Amino acid sequence: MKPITVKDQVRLSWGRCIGLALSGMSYRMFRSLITMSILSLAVAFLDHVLSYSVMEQNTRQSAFAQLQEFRLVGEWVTRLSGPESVPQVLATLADNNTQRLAEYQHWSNQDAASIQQAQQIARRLRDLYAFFDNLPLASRGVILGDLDPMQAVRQLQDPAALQAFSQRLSQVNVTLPLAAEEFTRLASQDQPLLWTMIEKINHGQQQAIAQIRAQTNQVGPVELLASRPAQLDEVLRQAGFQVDADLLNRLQVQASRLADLQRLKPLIEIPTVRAAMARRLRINPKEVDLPGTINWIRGQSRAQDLAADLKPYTADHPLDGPRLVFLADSQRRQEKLQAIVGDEPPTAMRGLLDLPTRTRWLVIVSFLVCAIGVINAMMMSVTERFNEIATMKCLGALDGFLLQVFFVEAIVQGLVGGLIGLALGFGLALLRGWISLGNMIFTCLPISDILIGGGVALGAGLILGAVAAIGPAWTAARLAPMEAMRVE
Amino acid sequence: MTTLTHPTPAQSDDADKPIIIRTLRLNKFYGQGEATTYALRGVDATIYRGEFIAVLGPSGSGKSTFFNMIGALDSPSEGRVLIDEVDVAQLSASELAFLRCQKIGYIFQSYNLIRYMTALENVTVPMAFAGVKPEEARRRGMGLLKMVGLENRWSHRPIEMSGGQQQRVAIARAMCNEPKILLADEPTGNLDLKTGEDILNIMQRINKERGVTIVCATHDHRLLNICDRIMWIRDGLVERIEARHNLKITVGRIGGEA
Repeated sequence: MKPITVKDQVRLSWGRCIGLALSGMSYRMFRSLITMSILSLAVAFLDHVLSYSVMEQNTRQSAFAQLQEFRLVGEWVTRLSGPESVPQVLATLADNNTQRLAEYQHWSNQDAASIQQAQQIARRLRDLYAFFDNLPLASRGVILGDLDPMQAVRQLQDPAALQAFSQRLSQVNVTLPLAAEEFTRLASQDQPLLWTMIEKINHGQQQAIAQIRAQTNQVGPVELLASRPAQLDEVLRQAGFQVDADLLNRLQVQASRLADLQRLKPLIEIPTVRAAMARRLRINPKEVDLPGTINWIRGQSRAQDLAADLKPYTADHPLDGPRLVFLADSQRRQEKLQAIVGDEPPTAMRGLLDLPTRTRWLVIVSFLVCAIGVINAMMMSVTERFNEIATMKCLGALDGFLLQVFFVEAIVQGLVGGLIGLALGFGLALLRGWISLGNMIFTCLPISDILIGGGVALGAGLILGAVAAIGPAWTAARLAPMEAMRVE
Repeated sequence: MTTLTHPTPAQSDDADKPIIIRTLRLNKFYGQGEATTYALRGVDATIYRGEFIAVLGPSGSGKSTFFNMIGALDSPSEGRVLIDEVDVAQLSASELAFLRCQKIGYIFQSYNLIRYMTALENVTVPMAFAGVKPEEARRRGMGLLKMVGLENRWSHRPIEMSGGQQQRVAIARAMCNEPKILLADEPTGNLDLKTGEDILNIMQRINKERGVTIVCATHDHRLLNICDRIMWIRDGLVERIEARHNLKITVGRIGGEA
């Protein structure tokens, strides 16, 4: 009697598997469609959340960056108007902006090492202020009184005040983030150095601004930037400001817009202009104001009308149609960008893998929803076919064949459902983005992040689907055929 | 369990015939302790090569369980099944698959055709499992369909065929890898008299012309006209085994049972 020997292990070709899976799916068309639609919905949901969050993040960041352009001129106008406030210098020092540090070095007339030292002190002070700011109100009141952290710490240069401060500190049982001697050194030795440095910087700034004024016929900063006299680059550089031609060009555009806005303000008050505007807006002349007027300016023809009204009063420096259109459009754009950015500035550019906490939870939850949907759909479609699996086993199918067939089927269903889901999810994300953020969504699509998100969603659908299909198929395949047939 | 390396045939008068299936104290029970129900209680049976044996017994007698055991479709709780003197329990999963694929053909009461496949595809599936090339499988499949008289319906799905036609496809499928044993579990159970007879005729032809051993669990007494031996099973035990020529049989009736 010879025992059974399986010489050449039979392999089922993948082509044959795909054929089997496809014919099975087309026969159970309705069931497969349901499975695939559940799959596609799950993938769509996950992809929607992923792509929408990266889109929103990217759009907000891009809007914020564009807003900076509008804010740039305001910042420079402030800088050219007078010395910076002490907290501002402190914050700039603590930051790591090499251009600004170079400017400070110039104004304070110190070497790089002492600037660096000031920077170290500024950083430690910043951390200390933040520590006091985060204290509970009660202990903060005891330690600082009514003063803000900067004022309070500044007073500690006096040894007696430092003594009293330490006593108050022990009263409320608060431990500083610094060791005691370090704190003492910071308060009594380092602090004076910093304040002297800041005074020097402020003094340098004052001198620089006076110098600029003298060399440019005492013009105000807005007009100065808007008119941009030929020697401006040189004058600013001599005064210690780090500027280049590109920056000044950008500043010029924005400054002339700002200048136009400032000039338009009194012009609106002129009775004839006001009456004409009131007629156009069909409101009481008293209600005519600058925002309303700017909002009304849309397109060249309206701008030309208003320019015609203004002509008698702007003979020296005409405010023509194109300038008004640019003004109004910029204003509107700024408002729109502000609406997209919202109150909080967006966090620094982060990718898909480092989403804000709230979004991350949303992604985790939608991943779970996706997983449950996919697993349920696939397990259902396999479990109801135990009989078929048992029959195949009776016909001599190896366990591997069954797994192969079900794997291929899961992959085919996962691919079809997943791709539909991706299209659906991405489309919905685009639509939602367009509704909530406007056209800007299309100009700053983070393609690579969206592709990664799509890959993650599709991969999740495929892998979960395959695992969920193979699990029960494996269970059924390992059972004796008759036991599998009994399972209903 | 007793270890029997060289078991001796149970019946002396058949000792010269080659044995194809043998069971040794076959037990099958479900549940445990008090709730244990026995389906088979120590069945010793020997089936010879080339014979047509009918397994008779009332419902719940353990007929189907016995059928599943000797077809390696279910594992016994105790005892052994030897097919070609090989203990089924010793076989690995792939050897079992090989056995089911190449050595045994199965016919079920409910046909168990794969719903989404055409008649021809159903017949060729086991050949794919056996590694037969698709063109060759098609050719052989058509030949088998011709044998059961369904060559014109090769493209029909099970749902488009009558019960008798489905059962004939199932027979063609069972025969596709030229098995030595054909196991049929109530093949005519769901069929009317006429179609049932067609099925029995086909089975008889397979037995006579191809020398395939057929074990057929049945209620259908007409089977007694064509089988070689009859095995009665009752309450999980073999009640008796008789050769047909030892029974007084009139057509369509049994006279042997006292």
